[in-house]
Amino acid sequence: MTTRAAALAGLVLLIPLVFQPGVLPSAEAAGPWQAQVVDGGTKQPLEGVVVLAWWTRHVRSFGGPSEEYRDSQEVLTDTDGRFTIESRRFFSLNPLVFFRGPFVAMFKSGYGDYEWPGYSGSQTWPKEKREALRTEAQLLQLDGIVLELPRRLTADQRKEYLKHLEVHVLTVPLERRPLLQKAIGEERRALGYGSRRQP
Amino acid sequence: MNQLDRFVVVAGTAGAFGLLMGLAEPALSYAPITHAEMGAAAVDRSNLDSILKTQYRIDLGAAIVVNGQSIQTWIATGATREDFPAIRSLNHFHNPLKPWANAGGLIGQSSIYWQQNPDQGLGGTWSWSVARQRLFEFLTSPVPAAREQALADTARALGHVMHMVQDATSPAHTREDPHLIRDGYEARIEELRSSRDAALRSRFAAFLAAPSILPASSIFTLTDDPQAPVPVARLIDGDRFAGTVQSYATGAEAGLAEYTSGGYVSDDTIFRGFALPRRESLGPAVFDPPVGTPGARRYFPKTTDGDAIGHFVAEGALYERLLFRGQQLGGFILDDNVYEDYAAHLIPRAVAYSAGLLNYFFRSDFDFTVDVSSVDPERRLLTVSLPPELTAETMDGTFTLYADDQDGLRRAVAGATITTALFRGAFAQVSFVPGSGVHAYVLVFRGNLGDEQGAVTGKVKPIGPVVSALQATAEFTGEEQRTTLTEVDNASSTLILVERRSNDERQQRARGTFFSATTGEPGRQLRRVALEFDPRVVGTPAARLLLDDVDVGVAWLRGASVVDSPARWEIRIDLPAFFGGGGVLVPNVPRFLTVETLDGIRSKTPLLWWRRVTSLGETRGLGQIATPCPPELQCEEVISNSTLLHGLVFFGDGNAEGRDTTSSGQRAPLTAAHTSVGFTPVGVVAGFSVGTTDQRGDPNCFSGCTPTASCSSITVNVFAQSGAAGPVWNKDEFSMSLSTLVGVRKPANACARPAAGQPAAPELPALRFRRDYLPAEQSRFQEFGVTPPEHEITLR
Repeated sequence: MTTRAAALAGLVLLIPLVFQPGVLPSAEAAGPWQAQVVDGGTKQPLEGVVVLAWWTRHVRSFGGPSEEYRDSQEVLTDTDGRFTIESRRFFSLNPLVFFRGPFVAMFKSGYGDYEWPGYSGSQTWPKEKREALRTEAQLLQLDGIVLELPRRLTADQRKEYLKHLEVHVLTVPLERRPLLQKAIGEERRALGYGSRRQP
Repeated sequence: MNQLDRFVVVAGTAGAFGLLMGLAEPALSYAPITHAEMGAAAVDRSNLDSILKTQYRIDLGAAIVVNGQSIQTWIATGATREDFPAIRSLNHFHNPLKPWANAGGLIGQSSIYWQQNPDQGLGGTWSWSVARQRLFEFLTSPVPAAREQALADTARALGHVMHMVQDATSPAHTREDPHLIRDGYEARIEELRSSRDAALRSRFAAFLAAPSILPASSIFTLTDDPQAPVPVARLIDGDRFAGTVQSYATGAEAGLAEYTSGGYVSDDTIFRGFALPRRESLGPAVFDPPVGTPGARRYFPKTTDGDAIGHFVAEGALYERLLFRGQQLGGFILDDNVYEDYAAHLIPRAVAYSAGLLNYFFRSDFDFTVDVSSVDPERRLLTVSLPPELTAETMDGTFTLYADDQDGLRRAVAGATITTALFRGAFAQVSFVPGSGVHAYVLVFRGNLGDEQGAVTGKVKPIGPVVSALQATAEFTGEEQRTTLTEVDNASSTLILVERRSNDERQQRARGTFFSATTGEPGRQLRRVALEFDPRVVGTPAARLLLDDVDVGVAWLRGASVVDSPARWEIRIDLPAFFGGGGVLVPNVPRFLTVETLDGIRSKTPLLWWRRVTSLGETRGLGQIATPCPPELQCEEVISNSTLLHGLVFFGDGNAEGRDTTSSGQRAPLTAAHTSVGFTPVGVVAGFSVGTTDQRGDPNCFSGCTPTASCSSITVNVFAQSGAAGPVWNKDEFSMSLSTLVGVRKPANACARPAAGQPAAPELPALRFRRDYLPAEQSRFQEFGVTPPEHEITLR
């Protein structure tokens, strides 16, 4: 690398540091995050749904920002189907670091991924609204959010959702999601994943 | 501006403006979970699940759970973790138009080198060679838990390697377009993927599920690059694209970086820095939505030079102005419609090539068998073979056989190693002494597989339930033949009355069942059941095999018959002759019933048949002059009664004629543990115990000129005969001859032929044999840790 290039590269790294106070990254919102979970068919509250919320830490690089696990919380919905994720705020002195979250996954045997009635058609929303409500982090800070879990009745549907769910929550280390892992394990056994022959 | 300047300016601008603007949510490369979803989709698209089930005998395939996650998820995990820590992503670029050593940009190394880098540093090494090493450990580690972990690590490493293949479908990654802050294409993909709007999310799902060509097997050619020697590099760069229209290809042999770089533009390389894509490939502009509609924008399709893209570029705010000023390259932008049209081609390719990577990694054409050695039945013959198909790659390395015990502990089998170069259609063999209690054989190869050095592959063959065919009976199916004969010889004053009983040995049936010590439904474990005849038999044998009363010809193959889980078998013979072959006795009756399980374990059950059985009852009345005696005693009037019973059996495992003799004709003493056939007669035959050899009495009663006489004689050999050193076995034959004689002497002139009674031929007996497993057969059972089933066969 030439001297000029090295100098320019150094400048690139310095600029963010100079302006660091103005761009301190943090989580998108501080929470708390809450909603009620109901059966998509009967609209009745669902108790005992595992709700996993997690946050990620990112570091910008020329290959795109990396992503790593930062924090998570697991809760079960109460008898009224409600849950609350506690407030969080994250901070880093490194200007190349930022945080995202919470991302949310839910699981109850026999149900699929949650849907928020009214979110469909978001493509046609005004840009401001779309930006404001793009993520779970933003949605779940609103009052009165009701999330519907659609029924997944057949074994194939349940297996397919299980496969999707496992990938979706990959960021969270296994040991940080014991409730979800327990529920997934029970679902696997119910679906016949219990026996296997080792090579 | 040279490349270095451009890089610095881009980086500096991005760093300065991006961070100053406080972009809270900059786009990632393909987001980690996008990589994970592509990885999971690739598993579904690949042969991995099937290979794990059939080649490595993991019942759950890619769904098997190791340490809380399925193998499919471990692959997704690797695809995700490749971006951590962030510095790794500097090695995820590849410009196919540059030599590989310089194709990764200014800071990192080419993704092709990174895929095969044996020391990746931060974040750990998860390159191709690690995947190969962990696969080797998955196949050879003694303890099941260690093998499971090795399989999970193999999957994770493949996810990491796959990540680079997927990044080769991001235009920015193939066109040296670093994107510290934002890459529009990747940002749009992440927006669709993570959206809570089902309609948006479904677009991403449609990209994942869209069909796309899998890379051709011919793509995996030698690289001649010591830093990326494994042909998997060709998934990214086939070294065919030279930046020209003529060299650009979109087929199954195109490297992904070549396909992407030559066919698509990134935010900062719109018709700049690269000869392709070029403006000349654009078709007439169209408005979307239609002109006059709010938000209408003019888009230009790409109509030549590769795949047609509806929204290839859009007009930017300065488009008209720059055109007016005669600028040739100004004013184009990429927006969400463009990104989505790109993704419709690029993401399916990413999934398909990722699947191709898995298929390439797990490819294998060889097969192996472990059979009883024909030279020494107590040894086994390992045969490794390659099919004759053109696609079969040469395997030049070492094949090592391992055996699992009942606890899954795996050990190499002493002496069962072959180091060779095996070409398509060829085979190699080695014999070895088997161990005991083997529950699975595993053959592991390490060496050069086609053009890949240091390849690893293997095959697991569980023994599974050992299924045996047990014979219960062999019986005549024709009517018993019963004849009587009267002969009168007036000249000799003799009357002979004979009754003869026999059965036709050409018409018989044998019946039995299938047995397994480990399953109640052994029929479900069967793949093939067949009659085996003497190899000298010419023509179609007149024998039929019936399974559960269904005629299946002379062989049954699973899936080719209505019979699914046979429990009973029956063999019917209706032969023109029991033996054929002209001057040589060649048995036309089937010798064995062979059984092969789904796991490839073959066993041959020797069959036991009647060869012949007859009985005879004879009465003679004789009057004759005995001249040496005084006149008053010169006439002998004698009535003799005799019975004869004789039978032969046929042993399927006997000599050429089905008899129990060694090749030298020697017979074994009764005290021998075994003879040359796998049967031992038991019980009593016509009142005589098996093993009886007796010869007594003299049929010549008149020792002098005595007035009356009576005598008897007996000759009995029940599956035994006298030998020089004591009785010996003669398992294929029994005979009893009993005679009595009563005579009186009268004057010669009173001599008359006495009236004889009606003779009665003895009942044809039933025979019983106990199955006696020979040492070679016992070693087979011992090899698999199974107790041979005890049973008897009745011939009647």
